Amino acid sequence: MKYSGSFAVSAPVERVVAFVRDLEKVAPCIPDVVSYTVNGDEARVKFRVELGDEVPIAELRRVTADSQLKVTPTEAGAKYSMKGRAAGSGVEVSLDLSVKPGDAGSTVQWVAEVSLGRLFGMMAKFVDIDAMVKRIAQDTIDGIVKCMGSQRPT
Amino acid sequence: MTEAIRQVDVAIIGGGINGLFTALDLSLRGIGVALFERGSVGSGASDRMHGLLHSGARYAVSDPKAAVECAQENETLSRIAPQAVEDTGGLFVAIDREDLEYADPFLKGLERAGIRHEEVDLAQALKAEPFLNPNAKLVVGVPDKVVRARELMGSVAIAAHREGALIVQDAEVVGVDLSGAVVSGLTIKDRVDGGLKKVGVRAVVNAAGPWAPHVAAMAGVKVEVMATMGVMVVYDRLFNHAVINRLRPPSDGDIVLPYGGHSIAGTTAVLTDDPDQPEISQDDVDLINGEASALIPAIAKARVLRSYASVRPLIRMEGVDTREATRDFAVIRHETPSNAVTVIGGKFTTGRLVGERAADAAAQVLGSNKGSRTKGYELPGDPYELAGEAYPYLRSSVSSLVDALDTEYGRVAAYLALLAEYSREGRERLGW
Repeated sequence: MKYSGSFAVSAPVERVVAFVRDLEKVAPCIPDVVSYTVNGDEARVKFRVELGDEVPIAELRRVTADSQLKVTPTEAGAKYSMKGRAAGSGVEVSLDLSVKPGDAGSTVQWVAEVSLGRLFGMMAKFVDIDAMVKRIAQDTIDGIVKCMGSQRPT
Repeated sequence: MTEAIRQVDVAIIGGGINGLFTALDLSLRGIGVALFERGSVGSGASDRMHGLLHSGARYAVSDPKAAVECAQENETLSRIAPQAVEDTGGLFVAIDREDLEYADPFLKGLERAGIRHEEVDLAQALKAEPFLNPNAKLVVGVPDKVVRARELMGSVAIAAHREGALIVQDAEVVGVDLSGAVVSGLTIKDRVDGGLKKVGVRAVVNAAGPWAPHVAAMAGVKVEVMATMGVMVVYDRLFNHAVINRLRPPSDGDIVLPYGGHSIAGTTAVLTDDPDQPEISQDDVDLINGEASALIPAIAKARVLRSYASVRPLIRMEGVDTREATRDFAVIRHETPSNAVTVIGGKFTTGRLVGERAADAAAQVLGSNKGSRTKGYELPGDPYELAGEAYPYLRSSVSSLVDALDTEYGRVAAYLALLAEYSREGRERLGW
């Protein structure tokens, strides 16, 4: 599954690029972080994921994800790869962040590719998994944007 | 010699809390019942729960309907089975700012659901619960209780037996015989002698819990199912007297219960393929330890005695809205086969209500208009009093537990012994 979008940041390109390449700054921006440890360009992040009210079992609507993140600098920004588990199923995410000059200072274009493990894939029989993943991807990006705004990338 | 029973009014498949209350409910309406359990009564999902008799508070925001049902059934079970219920009370505890943000919708949800609650002064809470996180930001008391699952199920089974139901253990339904558009009988594998047995039925209730889709498929009813596993962790000592809940939307590791001399923390929601083989990982245990220690910091250094898991099913069945089906439960009377009823979803707390609804549907199949009586039916309270009814070879074993060192621990053993005897009697009545 592939999702994309863009957002504006009121900071110069070089500052935004430095921010998105810095796991120490990005990891705590993931919404509902429970814990994280950063080691250079890698991090282990545990965070809560809202699967949403459409999931018919209350305990399954809000699960904990345990993930390994790796950031690789790219020409225009950074690429994140995430491998993790949530609710007993595997999840892999590849996220490309490209920073360009924009009206407000910078524009960040993002492209996320999400692969769900077999068990999560089977949930598609019960809920609209595409809409769910799209919302979670957007929530995560929104968290990073909000965080960038409050921390003012330097 | 009494002639063997070849046909029953209603066959119930599954001896968990839902099936047992269905059996009792129908028996009280004067309907002939046989309950078939593939293992021992209560040995499936019902005996793998956390022990919480919900006040409904946990679902006050996310599932208002389930919250109201839990609140009502909490009171009903406390009244009809006080021997199996411990009125521990429950506390919802806000630990961080995010929890506090949830407090407003939570308190409004409690009001809407009519769940009694009160804000508890932190100093008072710490006096009652010295291991509670001293940095708690808000504590709300609710009428959560602890239920001893096997004892409750044992007393329901004994009551059903007294009212005429046949309770047959080690009897696995392996085939559903169809005659036109109705179920005419069941093929049952007798796990005692390995043979196949046949029983005629006028109606059938599928109360097999996570295994219900497997049973439904035998009757030609297509069901999509996916199991989710909830893990519980048992610690080597008791840290709390009341049920301690995290004041936040239901999530991983947000309940710690007092159960006997131990605290039990739960739970998780882990997708799994097979309800028969839930696999608990160390990550699951670590996750619960971490979350539970936010409520009770001493848990971080506690020794884990063991862990266990229960399985809840996600089910999609034709004609049933998935959301409605699992919030909290659904009882479906099928169009075809027209004399079949399936129970899906449900919590242990609402087992009596599920039984009432399932019995209503089965009674309707039979054209009976008698209503449910379980809400006012006092369940037998002391298995030792029934020792005289036990098989002579078991009688002294059961009686020896009375007024002894292990009297409390022995109650479950006494129920099991009695049920083994009643099962043997049920088999005789069926000519097995």
